[in-house]
Amino acid sequence: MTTLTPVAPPTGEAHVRPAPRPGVGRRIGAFAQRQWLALLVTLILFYLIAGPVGMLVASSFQQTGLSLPFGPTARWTTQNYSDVFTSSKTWSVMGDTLAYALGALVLATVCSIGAAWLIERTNVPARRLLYVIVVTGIGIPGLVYGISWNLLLNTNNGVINQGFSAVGLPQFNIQSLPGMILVEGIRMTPLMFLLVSAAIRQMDGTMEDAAAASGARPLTTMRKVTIPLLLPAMAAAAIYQFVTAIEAVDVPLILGLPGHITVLSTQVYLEVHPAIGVADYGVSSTYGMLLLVLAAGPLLAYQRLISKSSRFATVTGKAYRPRRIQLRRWRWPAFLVMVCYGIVTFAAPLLVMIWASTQPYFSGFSWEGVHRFTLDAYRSVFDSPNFTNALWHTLVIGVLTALFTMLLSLLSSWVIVRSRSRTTALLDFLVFAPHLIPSVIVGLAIVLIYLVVPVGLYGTIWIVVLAMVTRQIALGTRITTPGIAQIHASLEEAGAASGAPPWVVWWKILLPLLRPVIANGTLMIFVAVAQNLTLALMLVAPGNSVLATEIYNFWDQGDVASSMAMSVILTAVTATAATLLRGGERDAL
Amino acid sequence: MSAVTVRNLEHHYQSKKNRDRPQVDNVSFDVNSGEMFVLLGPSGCGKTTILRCIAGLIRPSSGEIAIDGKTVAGPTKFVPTYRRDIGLVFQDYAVWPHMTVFENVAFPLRHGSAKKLRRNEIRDQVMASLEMVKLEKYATRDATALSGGQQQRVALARALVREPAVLLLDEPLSNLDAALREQMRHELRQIQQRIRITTLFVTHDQSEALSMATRIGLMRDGVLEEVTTPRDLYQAPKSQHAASAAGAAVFYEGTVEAVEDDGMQRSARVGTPVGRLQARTLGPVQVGQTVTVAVRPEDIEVHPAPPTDRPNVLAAKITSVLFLGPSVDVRLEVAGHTMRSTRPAKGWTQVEDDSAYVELPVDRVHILPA
Repeated sequence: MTTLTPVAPPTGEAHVRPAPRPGVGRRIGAFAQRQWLALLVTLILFYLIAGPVGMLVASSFQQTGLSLPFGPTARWTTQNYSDVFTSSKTWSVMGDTLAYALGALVLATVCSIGAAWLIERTNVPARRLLYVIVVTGIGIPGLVYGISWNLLLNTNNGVINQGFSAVGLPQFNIQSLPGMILVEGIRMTPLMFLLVSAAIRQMDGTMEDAAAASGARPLTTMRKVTIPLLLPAMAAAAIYQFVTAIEAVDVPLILGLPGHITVLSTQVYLEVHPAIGVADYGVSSTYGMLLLVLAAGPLLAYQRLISKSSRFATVTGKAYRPRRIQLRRWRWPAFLVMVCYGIVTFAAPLLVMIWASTQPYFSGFSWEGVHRFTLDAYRSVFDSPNFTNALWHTLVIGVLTALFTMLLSLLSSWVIVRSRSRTTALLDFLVFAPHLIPSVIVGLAIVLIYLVVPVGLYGTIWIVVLAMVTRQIALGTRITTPGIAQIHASLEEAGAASGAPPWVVWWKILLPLLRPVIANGTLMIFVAVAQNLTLALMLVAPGNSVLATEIYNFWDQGDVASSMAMSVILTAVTATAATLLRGGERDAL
Repeated sequence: MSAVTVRNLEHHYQSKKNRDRPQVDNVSFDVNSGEMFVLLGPSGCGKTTILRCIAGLIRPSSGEIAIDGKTVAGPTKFVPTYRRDIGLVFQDYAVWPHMTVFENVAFPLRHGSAKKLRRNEIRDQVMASLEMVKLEKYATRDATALSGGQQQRVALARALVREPAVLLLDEPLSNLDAALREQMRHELRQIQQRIRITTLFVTHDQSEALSMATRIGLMRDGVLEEVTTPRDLYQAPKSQHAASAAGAAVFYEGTVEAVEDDGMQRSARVGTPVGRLQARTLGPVQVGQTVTVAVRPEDIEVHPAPPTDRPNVLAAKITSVLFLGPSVDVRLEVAGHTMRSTRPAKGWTQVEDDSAYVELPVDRVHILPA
């Protein structure tokens, strides 16, 4: 973390006002400052990104059967690769990974486009309410979502499966590939919906009217104008989500493991956390390399796509809103479908979570269970020092990661937006690159770095913060770059022309103007960090456990009630933050 | 004494396509104390780059700039914007949306002054500045609650409140609508005349330049072509570019057929595609030389019948008449070539396809280098 402290003031020599001496001090003007800042930010990002990637590549070529990479018995080898590529397991893992990610992606795309189309382009009633229903799912962490769905649809005592049996329908096994696809698909829908509906909302209605005025029928207009215009945004959202699906271990661990379905992310995790025996960091890194390649291809395509569509386009007046399609007698049926969707995807998991947390032992839903209602799980959770530590760590890690990430993002974005130099191309790539590195790899590589390099970070919360900042910087700059691009440079220049030195311009003009962007970004990153099981699980040690890892451990040990009690608390924290976020977003618009 | 001195200023943009094409090419000029100096030229001619160099927002590739006798940019020196004694008004106002009108104008005093001012000193100076732009009643308003014209006044008050050595105006009126622009022109001129602040004004609008300037610097392709007064630029342009920069003009290429010099005035007869024209000339011309003849539409008279005993009368046919309110814009055909004339609407009766006679008064026909 020490690496991040030098960034604190936006201008290096800011607080020491240089005496008007000739030479260097005088000449560090607006330009020199910008260049120093560019250099500093580039170095920090390079350290954050090149470190983990380098470590991953190096340790995938190390024989580490009995020790750490670069340990006393480790030597250079290509054995890991031949092991991995000759193992038939590798190919079934690859197949399952692709089926899982693509299946979830298709499901999320269908749900989100359907919902976005209904809410943004038709006259379905209570659109504001429906919008909230679809988006609220963001507040539930993937880990909690996975567990809740397990409680709803496992074949032993799943609540919905009990219902299926009662009416004579066959049961659905959630601990299977289709089950994982179902859960991951509807978990990804809210974010996908946000991306898609934003794209639909930004579309200029005159484009469609022009097609209509040229004699095109509605279907032709949709096929020839609407869809091509929206395609770049949709493809970008899909590729982004593809990586989300392959990088996380939460749903695959909870639903895949009991059903013996392994995907690449869980494979990386299991190689370093084997049920029996010792961790094999070399083989784990090799699987990590496969995952990196799988993520990098689509994401490099995504980057090209994004840079082609006007990424820095600023707000250009009010575009004319497209007309809404009149649903006529389908209005209320459409509304009901959306409400059912909300009940199934949001209310049901939430209710089963609360239900399970108040039961001494979970045995599905029954009326007898109501009499067994107890708050013992909450009591024991609150009495346990482990829980209070984990809650505290979650908040501290969330807040620190959000702040450091926003600071670094703001400085990087400012350099990218405001300067035309050639170094910005490199910086532009560096802030995007963390997207290429799935969470599980960042976790693995950072563990390795600080196990090998003994600087006392391992087992502290700082190693988690460092990993989370690395992972979140791409999200951070996705928020801050358009934010800064919307602030016309002349507002800063007017400050300089009024005699204000650069740090005053930042403090009095830029930061106040960016307040909604900063607030939103901070909250979004906080939510993402608090929900992230993958990184926490890779980096966890007794000293730095967080809520997500505690929930997983209790679940893994079979203590459903405690696990669910903590899930309720974690969901309350992230849902509250997410609610604030939407309020903030509305202000920003 | 000159308040701003620019010497051999050059600026190159780092671009892969045209690396060696300078944005500003060896420009030197002085802005005298208390004058309004206008840089006039089409967009992309480098005038704004010069202004931004003076403001310190761009570091010039070479050359020197001094404000109030103190070098601010030179081979070994570059003073950052915030240490320069300037006031700057932008085309897009750049009024800070998160501050009130008062806070906007107070900003340079609070954060830009070397010496700390007391609260009431700041208040008095801000209010004096707001009174100057007639916004004293709006001090507590949110800056963005104001109209475009009012926001531009806030920007002006903010630029003036520190009483800078030089006021820099970067196309300050071009975002305003036509009526407001006219009004702001007068007010800006009045304020400038009253407080006698040295002003550098950058614009592409010829009438703005003619009406506001003490002197005009005419820019083209990064080069400062000439520095002249508005009157000379309009009445005695030295080049085709200067003639069109100061207003509309029609041009014909021709050959000098005869030169007369009566000791007081020199005139020449030029053969052009529309006919023989008699013209006054300032510079020396020789028989046989190829020249350009320029006439402004407002100087071309149109008669229904040929006037007698006048030079430069040509037979024409009216092809279109546009009624503009105070005037009519008339297009005519003379010997197969288009000619344009602006006449007072009052008393105008002729319509399309009428035949007419155009008269080009001798002292309004300018001979320019081809």
